[in-house]
Order: sequence, then structure tokens, then C-alpha cells
Amino acid sequence: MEARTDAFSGFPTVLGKVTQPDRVSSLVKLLLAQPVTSPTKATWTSPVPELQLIFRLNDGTLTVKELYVGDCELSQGIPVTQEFFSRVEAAFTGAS
Amino acid sequence: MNLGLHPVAGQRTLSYHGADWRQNVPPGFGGQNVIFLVAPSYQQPITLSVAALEPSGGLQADWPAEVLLPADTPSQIGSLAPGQAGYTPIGVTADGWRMYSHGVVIRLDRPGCYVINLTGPGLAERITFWATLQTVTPTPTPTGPKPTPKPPTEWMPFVRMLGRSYLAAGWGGTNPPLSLDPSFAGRQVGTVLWNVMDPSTDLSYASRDGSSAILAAGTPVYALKGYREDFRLLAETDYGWRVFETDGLNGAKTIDDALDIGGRWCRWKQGQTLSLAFRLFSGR
Repeated sequence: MEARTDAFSGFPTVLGKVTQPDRVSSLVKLLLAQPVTSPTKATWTSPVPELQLIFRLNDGTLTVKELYVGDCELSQGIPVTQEFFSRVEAAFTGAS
Repeated sequence: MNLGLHPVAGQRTLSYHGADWRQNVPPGFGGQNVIFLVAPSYQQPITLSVAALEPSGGLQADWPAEVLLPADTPSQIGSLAPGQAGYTPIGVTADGWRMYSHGVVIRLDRPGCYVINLTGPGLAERITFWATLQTVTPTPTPTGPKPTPKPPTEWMPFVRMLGRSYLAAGWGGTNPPLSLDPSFAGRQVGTVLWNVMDPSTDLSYASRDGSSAILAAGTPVYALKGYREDFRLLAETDYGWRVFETDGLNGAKTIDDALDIGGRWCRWKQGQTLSLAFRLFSGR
């Protein structure tokens, strides 16, 4: 993992990568299956994202989504539960 | 709150806080720096005290004063000097006070903060309030060129189309801007009608289709080939052709519904770019 300070948020971050196909697949499936039930404009209680996912799509484009535990402005990212975040974090931590 | 007195440059103004006071200064008591205390029963003696406070808040002095309100002079307006027989002076900080049927008028001529108490059998309860008399400093007239007004609102780089709001992908600098080939453009879904950064644009237009904070009026907005229009759009910005992604759930029940990337992320192969990366924030 690469420790750095994110230029956007100013917070220290750790940049990681997933290198195993099976783990990538399971991670993406885990994320895409995540229910989203929050209102469209929730109260922003977590201004610092917990995790930022960077998808490189098969046409060369990127989509970047940030995960927030609890509520957040949906224009900034996706609100997830602590349980879901822990699962994603564990999956990344276990990636080689 | 004050007794109808208005701050006038170079003159004094009076404000106070408390209970059981009235703004109706009796006729003949016009002027500035006047407090009119209403006594519920003028047939009973009350005790009036006026205390001046130091600017720092410390109590400077306290002058209790027995004030006997005349019973049979409902329309009498007395002009009583401190120390006058029958009345006890209330202190030098209130250099003028008068009787008026149901109450007492105090005129304050020295800037300061005062505590005024009324007690006695003529009152149902003790009345305490604060009065502040201050000198208003004239506001200097600004000279020189007028400063350039700062835009009142900072906008995210959005465009609103199809009843939804879309944000420029990669906004915020976490990833380098990605300019696509215009051949990615699908059907034209709309045209930008106004830019909310334009001072002449009513800000209420931001919630209407056709508004944008990054695209100029007249800019065509296209679907991005291969993606749902409620997820991604494409438009030419000053920074190249940029993807705009929805910033809301729009009824999606899962992230898959919202992002429309299922089956589009690259499967990892040896020697190829990784399909998924993450940035873990630790600043919380």
C-alpha cells in the first residue's frame, strides 16, 4: 500500500490495489449488491469518506465513488453501513 | 428596544432590557435618553434605585431612593430635582427624573450601563432591568473604488438534464481529468439553457433542467454510448469532453442500479491495468 496525502481532501490516505481476479470479482459484486435506501438528500454527518473506489471500466473510462459510513450528501458519494464498510475494508486488506 | 429613539450619528441612543416598562413616554417628555417606568399603583410608595455599571461590568455604586408617588395627581407632571424635599436623590448618574401619574421618568445623560430596580408595596414584584446609554460613532463614508463583489455561491460542476443532476466525473482532483473522444457521444439529450455562474441568471433556475455551473448556455449534452442516460452523460467543457455522472439515487435500490457499471469493469489479467483500486481515508 502507498501512504500519501490526498490532494483533494488533505487527509492522509492509503492507496491500495486489488490484484487477484477472484477477489476483484467478489468485491465488485459485493458493492453492486449493496442496497441503497437513504433519502436523496441526507444530512451530511461524515464529511470525510471512509473509502474511495476507483473503477476502470472496459471502455477506458473511470468512475470514482466514495463510500461514507452513515449519511452523506449523495452528490459526494454513497452512504453505507458500518457493517458493509467493514466487509469491504476486510476484503481489501486481504488482497495481495 | 428603545423608546422610539433611533441611533443618530453623533448623538446618543438608549437601549435596555427588562420587564414591565412601556414605550409610551408621556407628552412633554420627548427627547433622548428617557426611560419611563410604570408603577402599577402610584398610591403606594416604591423604592427606585439606579446603579451605574463600569464598562467592565463591575458595579460602581448603588443609590436606593424612596419615591413617593402622589396619589391625587393623576395628570400631574412633576419636575423634581434630586434632593428635593420628600424625595431622596437617586444618584448623579441619573441627572433628571420626573413624576408622571402612573410612573417615573428618568433621563440619562451620561453614557454607561445602568441597573434600575423598583421595589415596594406599590409593586406586585420587584422590577429590574438594564439600561445602556451609548454614544453612536458616525460611520465614515467609504472612499475609493468599490470592491469587486465576490460570487455569493460556489457551485459544483453540474449539469441538470432529464430531471436529474449530474456531476463532472473526476471532479475534485482525485483523478486526472479524462477527456473522451467525441465519438463516445450518443443521442443529444438536451442543451444547456443557462449557466448559474452568470450573474444575470436567477439562482432558482439551478433546479431546472438546462442549468449548469460548468457548461455555457447553448452547449449540447449527449448520452454516453453504452450507458444508461440516467447514469452518465457527455458534454464538451473547457477541459475537453467530460463524463457527467448522476449525483443522486433516482430511485435506485442498489448501487448496481445507480452506477450502471455491472459487467463493465475490467477483469484483471496478468500485465493489464488493475480494474479496481481504492483510497482509504484515515483523517477521521
